Amino acid sequence: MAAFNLVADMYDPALKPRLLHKLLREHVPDDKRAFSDYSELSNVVSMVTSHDLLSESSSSKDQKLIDSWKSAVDSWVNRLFLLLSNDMPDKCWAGIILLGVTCQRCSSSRFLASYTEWLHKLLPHMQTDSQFLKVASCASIYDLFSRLGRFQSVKKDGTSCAGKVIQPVIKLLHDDNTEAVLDNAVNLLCTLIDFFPFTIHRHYDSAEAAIVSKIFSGKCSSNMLKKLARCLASLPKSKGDEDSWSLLIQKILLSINSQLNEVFQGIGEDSKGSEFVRLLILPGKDPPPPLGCCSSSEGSLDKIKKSSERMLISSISTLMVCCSTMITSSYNHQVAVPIRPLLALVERVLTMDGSLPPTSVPFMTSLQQESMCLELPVLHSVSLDLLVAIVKSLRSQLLPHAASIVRLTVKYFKKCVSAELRVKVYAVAKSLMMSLGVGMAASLSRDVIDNVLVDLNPVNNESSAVNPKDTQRDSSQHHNKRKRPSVPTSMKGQHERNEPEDITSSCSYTSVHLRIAALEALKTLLTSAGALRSEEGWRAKIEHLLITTATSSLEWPRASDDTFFQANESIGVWVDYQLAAFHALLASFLSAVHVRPLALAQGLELFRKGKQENGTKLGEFCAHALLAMEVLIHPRVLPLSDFLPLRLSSPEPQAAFKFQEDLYFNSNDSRKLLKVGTQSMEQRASEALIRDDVLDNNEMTYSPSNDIENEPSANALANIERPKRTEQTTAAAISEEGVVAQDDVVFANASMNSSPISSKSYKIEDFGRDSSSNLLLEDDFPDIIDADPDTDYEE
Amino acid sequence: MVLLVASSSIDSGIGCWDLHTGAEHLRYKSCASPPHGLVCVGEKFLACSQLRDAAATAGSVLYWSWCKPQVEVKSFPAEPIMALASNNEGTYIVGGGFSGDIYLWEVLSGRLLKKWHAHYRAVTCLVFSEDDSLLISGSEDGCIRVWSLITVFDDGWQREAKHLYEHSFTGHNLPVTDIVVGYGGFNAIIISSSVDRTCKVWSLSKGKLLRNIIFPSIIDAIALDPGEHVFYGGGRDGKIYTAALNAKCPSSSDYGLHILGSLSNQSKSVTSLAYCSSGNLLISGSEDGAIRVWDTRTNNVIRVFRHSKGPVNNILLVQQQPLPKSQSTSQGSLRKHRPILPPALAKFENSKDEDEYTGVIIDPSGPPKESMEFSFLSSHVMDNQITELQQQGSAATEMELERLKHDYGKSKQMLQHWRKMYDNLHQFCVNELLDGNQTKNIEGNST
Repeated sequence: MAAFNLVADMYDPALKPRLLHKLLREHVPDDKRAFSDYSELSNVVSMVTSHDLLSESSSSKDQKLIDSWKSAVDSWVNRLFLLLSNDMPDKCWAGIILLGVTCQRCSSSRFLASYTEWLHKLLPHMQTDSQFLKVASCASIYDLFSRLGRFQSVKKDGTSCAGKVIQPVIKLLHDDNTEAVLDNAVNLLCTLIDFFPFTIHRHYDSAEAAIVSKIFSGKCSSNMLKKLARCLASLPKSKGDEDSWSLLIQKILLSINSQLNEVFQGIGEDSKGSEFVRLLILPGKDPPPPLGCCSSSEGSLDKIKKSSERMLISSISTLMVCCSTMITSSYNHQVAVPIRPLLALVERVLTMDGSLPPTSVPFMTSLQQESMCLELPVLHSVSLDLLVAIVKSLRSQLLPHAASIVRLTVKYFKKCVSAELRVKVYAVAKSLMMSLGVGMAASLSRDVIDNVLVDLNPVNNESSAVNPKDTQRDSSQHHNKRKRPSVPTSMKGQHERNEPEDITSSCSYTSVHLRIAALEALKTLLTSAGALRSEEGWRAKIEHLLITTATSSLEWPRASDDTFFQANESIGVWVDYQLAAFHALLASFLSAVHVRPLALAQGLELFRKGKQENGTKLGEFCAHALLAMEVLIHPRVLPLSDFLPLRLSSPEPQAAFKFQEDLYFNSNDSRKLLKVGTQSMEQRASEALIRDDVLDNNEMTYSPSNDIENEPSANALANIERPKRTEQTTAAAISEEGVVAQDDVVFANASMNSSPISSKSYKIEDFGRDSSSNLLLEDDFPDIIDADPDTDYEE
Repeated sequence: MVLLVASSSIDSGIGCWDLHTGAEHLRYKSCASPPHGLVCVGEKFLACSQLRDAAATAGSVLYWSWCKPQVEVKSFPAEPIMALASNNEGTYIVGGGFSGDIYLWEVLSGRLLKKWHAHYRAVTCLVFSEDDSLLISGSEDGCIRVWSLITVFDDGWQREAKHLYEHSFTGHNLPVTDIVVGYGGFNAIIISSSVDRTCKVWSLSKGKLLRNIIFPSIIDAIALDPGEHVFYGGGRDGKIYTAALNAKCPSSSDYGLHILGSLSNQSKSVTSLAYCSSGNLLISGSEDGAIRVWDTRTNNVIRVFRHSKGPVNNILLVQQQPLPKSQSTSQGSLRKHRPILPPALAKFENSKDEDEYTGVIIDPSGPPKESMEFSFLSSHVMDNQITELQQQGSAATEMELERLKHDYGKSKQMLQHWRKMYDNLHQFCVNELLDGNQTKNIEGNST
């Protein structure tokens, strides 16, 4: 009989307990059956999740179903317990993992009822010898606490449970060196910090020491180091007060500083290190204990001193990542960011280019210099990241320091040659412009443009129309003009470096990533400060450059294009490049306010061409761009209907007006009338024809004045009728100017007779909409910016 | 919820209403503000500079938090502050002094970051540009100046430029009464009004006068239509004039070139204007103490708020999230987390050295910068481990070894078991055999 107990369909809730039983019967290992195919477990998990077999929730109120499902889940849990207590490691592993899955998928009532029991089952496996079981149990306990953290009601119990976990986790961090175990232990620690901060509170120092010792050990992979940095950064959240945050960042900065002293030893900039300490520690205060130690007596730095250059660099960069995480992530308390030390740190690293001071006797062997130069790019890269983080987190509060950051960035930009680092400098420039607005864009514009001209210069492209020498000549010209001799030399230097190699080698091929970064920075510049007066005539150059770039981006790199593929660029990057080029081009067109964009014709052609690439992002963007540029081509001068509810001046003095006393001010939903006294209206300008959205509304009466009996006005009235789709709540509309003309030409014809004002500007009877608006624009507004045909271009 | 906040030049408190429902909220006490002296700092609290008798040397700036009618923080700058402004984020407060100096304070620390001599006479209005990077100040001497805050903070500017300001517009002959800045970054327009009965439209990017509009009366307040088709000027004759900007305007009108018309309610002089984009409302404050809300589409007054008998001279519109009132009173924990107002504004600039040790305070109340999203791990870890098992990774080998050891032990046990059985059987057979033989022998012997 049971064989024919069929369910309705695959969504029938009655199916679920039976499916669960089936899984238990056939796929989940038990203590007897040998466990050979591990991938079966993955199947089980996907079945459980896709059918939601453990949720025990259905809309049906059938008690029988509820009971059967409950018993099925009960037997599932029992089976897992059986597996967990099995001494075969693989079965035990299966039990641990499946219990983790159960933690995340089971019903909340079941979870709350049994999480303590589950934790007790899992906990011993965290301390076994097997790496495999440790990893699995860490993951499962992680899931348990992540779920538990969402229930506000059990915070207290959860905290006491978490207290049992914290010590084993820290022990794992201390002892274990396997990547997978560490990874999961750190994950678990982060969850505990986020959800149960009080548990960490007592173990704060040992947790810090464990993490720091791992960072300094030099045995972790870079991903692992990043994770450790994030964990260290979130550690103060467990205390949640201002002091622990400040103390930690102070310790980190001091540690970075002393390690930098180590790396830069013998270069003769030691004074910077002591200057930095002076900035960080208030006079008369004791320095904090070194990072990772609770008291200053223990010396953890001794260990580092013996370590190699390579390890120093990796721990410095990890700590810098930690700093950026600390200042960008949210903290539940106001904290004071030590901005000056941070900036001093960034500056110290970025100004270090590996060169030795020419005056002093070198204290450094060439071997030392070599090894330092080898690692410097890494340091520069993380410092630039830190700078971006500072800009992003402080936003407008950075203003007092903005000028010094600009100087630093500009100086670094001139020296930096590596494509990878230049990408980051562009990112710094971009975030500066975005968070500090027009003022910042104005002060960075020159340098961004200079650098973009260098980086986007299509030296390698046959189709290029720009001669590098041309650019060079122009740039040196405008440099002469602005009397800043330092820039041209570096620019020339770069050109000279590039030119001999242009044709043959691929080294000069600026990577696509760099081009994208340059284009994005340029776009940001144009967006925020595109209206800057282009005293130096960069506007035309940039426009030309962008046209060339966009044109060349449309030609996909050929398979034979050695330079492209040699640089290990994937074809997906090229799509980003196309998009970036077209974005910048659109920004350039839209932001030109002083002069008509010269290359508009070419640009439109390009956008039309791009639009034909159907289904791609580029196609979509080009369609949008064409819409945005339509306003450039047809500038709109719409009649001011909304602002002219009253007739301005009456040409015929004999026209008598009847005042309408009842005005609807809220047309559709509200029928409330507002009585407005006659004094509220302009006496002489009140031919207010009341009309609701629907003209045949019975409530509405309009009183015809003698004007309306006349033929032309009647015509005008006929044209008044607005389509109902407009959400105009205007109750009072006016006969002539007040009408939103749906059709300019008809309207012009109709209203001309009655209004001498409008007839002046609508003299031509039969012109198209476009030309009319253009003409009107220039006639009426000789001096408003948008309509200004100002030709101060390169004057 | 849009709050309408208004203050007056006589001490009648700061009125606060819900613009759309008309319900009155708290009335904040003891405030007598100069024009343009009332600001809402980052939507977090209200700050207002105070009119005091001219003899007093120090000025005062007061803070009110939203939930308490009493003044919470009082600061006393070095001189009377006329105009007050704050950037959108609420990180800086800028005050224009009676002597023409401009003071710039950091809100969260209260430090006076910068003070510079901006005008020859009192600063009458201060406005931040849309992106908060430029500050525009107007003065009693008729001058309007545009400051780039980056340049203001940059100590090295003297070397490169002769003056600190970006632009200095000197078109007005008499004191500037109001300034508004339009939309569009560097391409924005600035509109200024003055006692000389004109409003002037300036271009920020070109630094020149675009349009000069002569009004029949002195304009004390300007509001800009967000679409920048027109702007509204509140006149001393009680009319609100509409003037065309980027729109077709008739060549002649009753009031003069570019003036499209006026809204009038025969009230006393209009002292302040604000535009509310939700509902397209224009709000005007008047000398007679009334605040009128106009529908700009119909030009009708749709609501009147009464502030006091005295003149209203400041109006603010504040977008505010409705406070969960019931909770804040019942739960103690929420009260603990109630935002505490920042410290009072410092009177003098700190020395450079002192500044170096205090960091920049960042406020936690910003948007959550990291998502609180946690994905579950165990299934992911399982997949990784299964791959490792199938590829016979090191950890997997270890587990396999463990399993084999276990199997080995089991087999060994089994072996011993079998051996024992075998031995037993062997013993048994041998015994049987021996026993059989013996009996045979016995039988043989016997036979």
